[in-house]
Amino acid sequence: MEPKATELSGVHPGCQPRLKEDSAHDQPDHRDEVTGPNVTELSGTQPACEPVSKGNSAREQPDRCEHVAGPKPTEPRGIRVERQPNGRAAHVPRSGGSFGIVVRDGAILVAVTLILGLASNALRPNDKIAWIQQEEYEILVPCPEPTGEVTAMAPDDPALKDSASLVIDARSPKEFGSWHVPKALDIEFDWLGPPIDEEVKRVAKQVAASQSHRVIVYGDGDDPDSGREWARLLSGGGIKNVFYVTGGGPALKQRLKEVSVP
Amino acid sequence: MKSWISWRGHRWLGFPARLYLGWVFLIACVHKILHPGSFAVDVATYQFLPLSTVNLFALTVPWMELGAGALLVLGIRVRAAALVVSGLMVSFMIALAWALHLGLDMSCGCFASQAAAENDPISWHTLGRDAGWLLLGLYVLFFDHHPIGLETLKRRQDRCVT
Repeated sequence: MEPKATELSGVHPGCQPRLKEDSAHDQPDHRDEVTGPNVTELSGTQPACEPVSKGNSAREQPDRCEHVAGPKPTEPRGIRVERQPNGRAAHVPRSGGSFGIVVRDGAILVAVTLILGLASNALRPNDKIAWIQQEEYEILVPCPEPTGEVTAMAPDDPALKDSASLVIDARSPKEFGSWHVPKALDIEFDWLGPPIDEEVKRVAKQVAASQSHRVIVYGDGDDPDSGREWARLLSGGGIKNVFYVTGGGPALKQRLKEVSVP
Repeated sequence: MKSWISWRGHRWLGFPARLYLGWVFLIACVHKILHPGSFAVDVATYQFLPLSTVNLFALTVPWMELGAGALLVLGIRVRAAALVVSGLMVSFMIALAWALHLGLDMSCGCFASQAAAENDPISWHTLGRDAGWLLLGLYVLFFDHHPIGLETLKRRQDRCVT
């Protein structure tokens, strides 16, 4: 009987498996038949498997397989055998092997890249940095401040003249001095100032003392508008019915004819 | 479950996932490697790491991104690279969640410096994006046992020769 190559379906296209040279020609290669679990490791830890015949004749077909001590398989490490749906066996390369090997490779990757990173920094001609920073970095991150919902108000809204409205001018004192809405309070909005919790509390007290029904803020009318930002902060501080004037001071100056320089 | 894990179709799903993830990390590392000083400031902005470890982090992490991204794209030691990527993503997400918890109004600094990315503020959307990348990394780590790539190609050639 001619030796018959075991089919390795879909695993090694164009690659013929090597036959055992020391096996009898009429003996099938049982290493390609998986009789136990689906996956058999061939990494050198499994004892060799030899066919055992029922009768005395060596030419009889074996019907079972026993594990006996013998030479280790010659397959490279990282190869395993999987049983295919058609009953054939397939030699499948393992990628990275067990999870322990994956972790080991990952640690090697980290170590190599760590050395590369430090070495590249040492070789930099100009902008190398110290491994350990001694001085604090100067970081400019805006402080988070609570903001609330506010409502836009047109410059010609009659509520601006209502005695129940508390009007706040968020522009600079210089702008306030040149022109402002009558009875408006001069409370400048400071873009880069410290947290304004105390300022919000002060305005809240004024609102409570004035018994106003609403707070109307107008600012410089720019983008972003200081009036709108002030209004949002006041609203976030717990003051209700806060409005801002669309277009700010410039729009008001154009609309309100009764405004005059004090 | 075991048959699902060993399903050979994972290699075809994992291949685009690897390419995308590797591409993301390769893109992300360029600025950080070229400008480690800027990246160190970005790291410090998160106010998460002790000052003594900020520079070491800024010097080494971009090279980890480069190595892991290259291995993912090339298909070499794919699961190890996915493990490193997943670890990086977890650390990034913790730092992001910390910054969001503090309410810091800052940019992510993921692909460019803070100054160059003023229009990319951190948000829960950023955290969700990172979570998506983490899931991709974990998928490759746990399911892509037979990755398409150079390592598999070389292994096949070696077996043919022998």
